[in-house]
Amino acid sequence: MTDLEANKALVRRYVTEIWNRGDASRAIEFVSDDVKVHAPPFPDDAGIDALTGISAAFRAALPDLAVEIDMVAAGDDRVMHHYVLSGTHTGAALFGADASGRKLATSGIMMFRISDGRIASAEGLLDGPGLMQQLHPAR
Amino acid sequence: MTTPHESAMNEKTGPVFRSHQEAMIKGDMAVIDELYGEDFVNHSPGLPDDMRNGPGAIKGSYGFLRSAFSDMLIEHHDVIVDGDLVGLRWTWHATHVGPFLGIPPTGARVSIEGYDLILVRDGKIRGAWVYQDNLDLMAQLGAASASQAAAEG
Repeated sequence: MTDLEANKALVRRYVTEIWNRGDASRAIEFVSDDVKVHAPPFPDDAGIDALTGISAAFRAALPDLAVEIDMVAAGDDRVMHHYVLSGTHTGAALFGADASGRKLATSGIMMFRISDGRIASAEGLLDGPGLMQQLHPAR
Repeated sequence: MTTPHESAMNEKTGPVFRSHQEAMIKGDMAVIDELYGEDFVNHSPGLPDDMRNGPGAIKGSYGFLRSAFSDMLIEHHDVIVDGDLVGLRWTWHATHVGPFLGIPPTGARVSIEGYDLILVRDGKIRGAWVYQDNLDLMAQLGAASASQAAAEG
């Protein structure tokens, strides 16, 4: 496996274990302790807890959450992908909106930098206005 | 504005860089027909239906942007080429000079970040997935609008 393919596999593992299974128990194996996290509208932060905190917030709100990666590009030490996130809002509040029982779906692009076989930075954007409109349809 | 990556212009990145520099920034809409395939689809969120399909969709998007903003610059911080996909991380700078989504011109200089995945095949752009920080843009314009309204009393 080339480095680029290994890096893609590493990011896929992160999405599978952390987002889709909600299992952060082995995050230390593929995420740097001081990973930089930049994912507006969440505040910038660093560390494994900061990264897994974002997926935990989504999973708490959407217990059936699924994240599907549909495009991946890798070059040098970077991996970029496009994803579609979906789930039913039956759990905790999300961005100030209480559970509605509605199905939500959004999408985004993430970019990761890989260093020493672990994710050293994770950054990206999702369709913020579209998600807010689904969460707060009356506004 | 020339960024370090412009020197890395190649068969895949060329149409993407030229679309930004020549069409969006300089307003040469004629190059759009050369750079985009007839089968082009813009998959980016938040677009009206008439800004989805074909080179005309990009002319419409850029025309709308250029009616609201001047003195645009785009910095390409990261450029990834993998097969037919070009990935970009960028910062866009512009001055708000025309009505934009209900906000009258504020004269504010705004900067937002974004990420693109662009599908380039046979020398033409076939698809685009663009995510930019629109919540941040509206916050910058809203703040500028509020301070201008206060100044005008």
